[in-house]
Amino acid sequence: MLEQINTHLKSSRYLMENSNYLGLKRELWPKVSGDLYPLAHDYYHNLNPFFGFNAVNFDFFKTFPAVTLRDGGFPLACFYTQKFPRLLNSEQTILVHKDCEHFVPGQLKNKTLSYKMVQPRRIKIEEAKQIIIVGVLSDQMILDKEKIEKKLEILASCSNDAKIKIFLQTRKNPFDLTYSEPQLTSPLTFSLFKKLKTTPEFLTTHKLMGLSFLKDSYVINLSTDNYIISDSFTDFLLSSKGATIHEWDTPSDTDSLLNVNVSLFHHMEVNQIKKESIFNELIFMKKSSIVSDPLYDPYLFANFKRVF
Amino acid sequence: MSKIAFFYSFNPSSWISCQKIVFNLLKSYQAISGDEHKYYHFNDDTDLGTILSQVKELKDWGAEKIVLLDHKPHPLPVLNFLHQEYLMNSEKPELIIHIYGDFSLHYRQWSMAQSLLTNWKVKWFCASERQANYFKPLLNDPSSVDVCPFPIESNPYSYQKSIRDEQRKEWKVTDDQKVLIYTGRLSLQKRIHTLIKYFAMVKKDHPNYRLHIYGEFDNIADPFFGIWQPEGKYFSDVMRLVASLPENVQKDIYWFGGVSNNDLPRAYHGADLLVSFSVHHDEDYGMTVAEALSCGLPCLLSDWAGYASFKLKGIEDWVHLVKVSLRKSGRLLSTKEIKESLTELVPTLSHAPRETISKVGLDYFSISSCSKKITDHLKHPAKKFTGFSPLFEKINLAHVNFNNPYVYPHPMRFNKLYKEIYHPYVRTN
Repeated sequence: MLEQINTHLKSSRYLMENSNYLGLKRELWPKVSGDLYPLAHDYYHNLNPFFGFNAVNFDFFKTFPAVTLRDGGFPLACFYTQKFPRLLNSEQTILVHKDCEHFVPGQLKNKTLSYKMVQPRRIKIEEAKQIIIVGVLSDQMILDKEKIEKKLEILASCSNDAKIKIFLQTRKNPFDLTYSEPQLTSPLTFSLFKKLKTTPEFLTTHKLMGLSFLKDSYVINLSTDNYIISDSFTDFLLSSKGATIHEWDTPSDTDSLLNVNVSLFHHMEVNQIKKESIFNELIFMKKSSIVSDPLYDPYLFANFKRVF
Repeated sequence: MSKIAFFYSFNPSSWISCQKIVFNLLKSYQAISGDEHKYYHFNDDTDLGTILSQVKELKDWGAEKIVLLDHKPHPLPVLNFLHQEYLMNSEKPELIIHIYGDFSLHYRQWSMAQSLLTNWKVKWFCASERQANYFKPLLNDPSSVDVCPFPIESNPYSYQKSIRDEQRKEWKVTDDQKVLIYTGRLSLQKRIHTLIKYFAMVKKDHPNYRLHIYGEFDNIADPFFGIWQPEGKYFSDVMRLVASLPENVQKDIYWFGGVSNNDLPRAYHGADLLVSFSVHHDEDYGMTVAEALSCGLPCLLSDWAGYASFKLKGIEDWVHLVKVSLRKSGRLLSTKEIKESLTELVPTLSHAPRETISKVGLDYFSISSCSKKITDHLKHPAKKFTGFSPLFEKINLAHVNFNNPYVYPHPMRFNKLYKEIYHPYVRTN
């Protein structure tokens, strides 16, 4: 597996270098991809970051020897339940986020590796001159609002002088078949504001993209609990400008199988999958679902929370 | 004494070099004694009602000159209200418009502004001779174009030995070591890959040399050549190149990431040579180079667009320009001249007259020097705007109708229009 990746790294067969990539019909991608902009925006590293939920043309997808799936647990589970038979016959190496590795079917463990993003240089929130709070919120994206409330407690440690910038987009439920109003985000936002020590500046997407010189900045991502997206574009972007991402770690003490540079300030640690697979339970959930496409089945979604 | 109104964003631009340029230009105007000034905030968030009231106010005040100082947003809404308010006035204030590199991204807006500018006296300021040579053919009356470089703050951008010693101590650089430096965006058109290859050539004869790179990677790629890249692509390409180099080269490339404007003067002081092979569209000036020269730093540059202005009289030996040719396949740097710099410039860095370079640089770029240039230019009254030229219309139409107006596809080749517009950016001999 590792040999295959190394061969791939030496070759020039990269997904986004392929002219077909630009020609992919993005209108065929599920709308969740656009609904989560900019979290699901494209970016590049040498192990082909891509979303499994966008792998509409599987024949094209499987031509690349190694692909890093940026999906969170829910779409990843859907990916494996839908694509399992074809993946069994594929020679491709797939990398999944460490927190989602238990969704990988046991039979595919020998073709799958896990990854996590690490930053050698990190600052503590107490040292940060700027706190950036990022989130694209909707009821269904938030797995556990208590978890987010707990995450926000860290704001108590930040300096009184630290500037606070907020990029908090409220979007409609990406799994909705019909429109419904987002309801959870307002109390959550209220709770967030109670914890702030200074008046925040609100960022538009344009301003977020233009941020630079972030070595003194600390980023808290409210929408990343690896549920829908495990590898967010905003985390990549802000880390590539030097910011410390709250959810990431320093490099492991033990040697990883492979390190892949993703930006000047962070890299990806690749390791073997260690957790036990729960794929059989997923299959049971799929069988008991009355809707053919589990990605859009809110009942299945509620069930899914148990296994995440 | 004149009444001058300024339109610019009071908030710093997201474009790093323009953060300094706009405020330094303003200081240059402020250094002109006897004028009365009014300042109006204009950026993306300014609503039309505010702009209208600003325009009414400056009219009531009796502004004689209006300076459009900033590079963005495009001043179309301001020009629109000025046109309306002064429609019935035969005497209109003079318009002074500073042109930036992003002029080429706004042909459509300038085309729309054409009718609004009719009957106004307009003076255009370009930042360098070559930018002026690019811009003049786009106007029916080229004589309304003057050159005013973007100014530099003499403090902290002037050479001091003590700052150099302090910085080198912090870097742990010994006297026999030399530091090549690059600061700016790390982007495909900035040719960071060429810089890395160049450093590998330098290391063959000078094992003690180091390369310090300051800046953040971006995904701008080369849109005029139809090249699109996702975020992270250029970083991965450069890292792959670095990994292919010998170990002794890799270990002496130091990546500092983006640093604030406050940290840059010290870096220029500590370094021995600024190297930039940028062929960026449109490198109208080169704020980095102006700052580096003001800190007494010798420079090795591509002979492209605004960079050519830095070969100043008195320091010609310390500013080397590498010829760029416009070919169908792209902008090509002369390998011969790059190699010549290895023998003519790189071994002589210990003898660089840092104080002289700094003095000559500041004589040309300092705020006081630019203030004097502006004063001289403003003595000559602006001329009535007579419209954009047929060449401008040709480019505008090409931009309106084609995604990649300068290239033939499959394989990508620059077309004649590209050469017609950009030939002033390169050395002819």
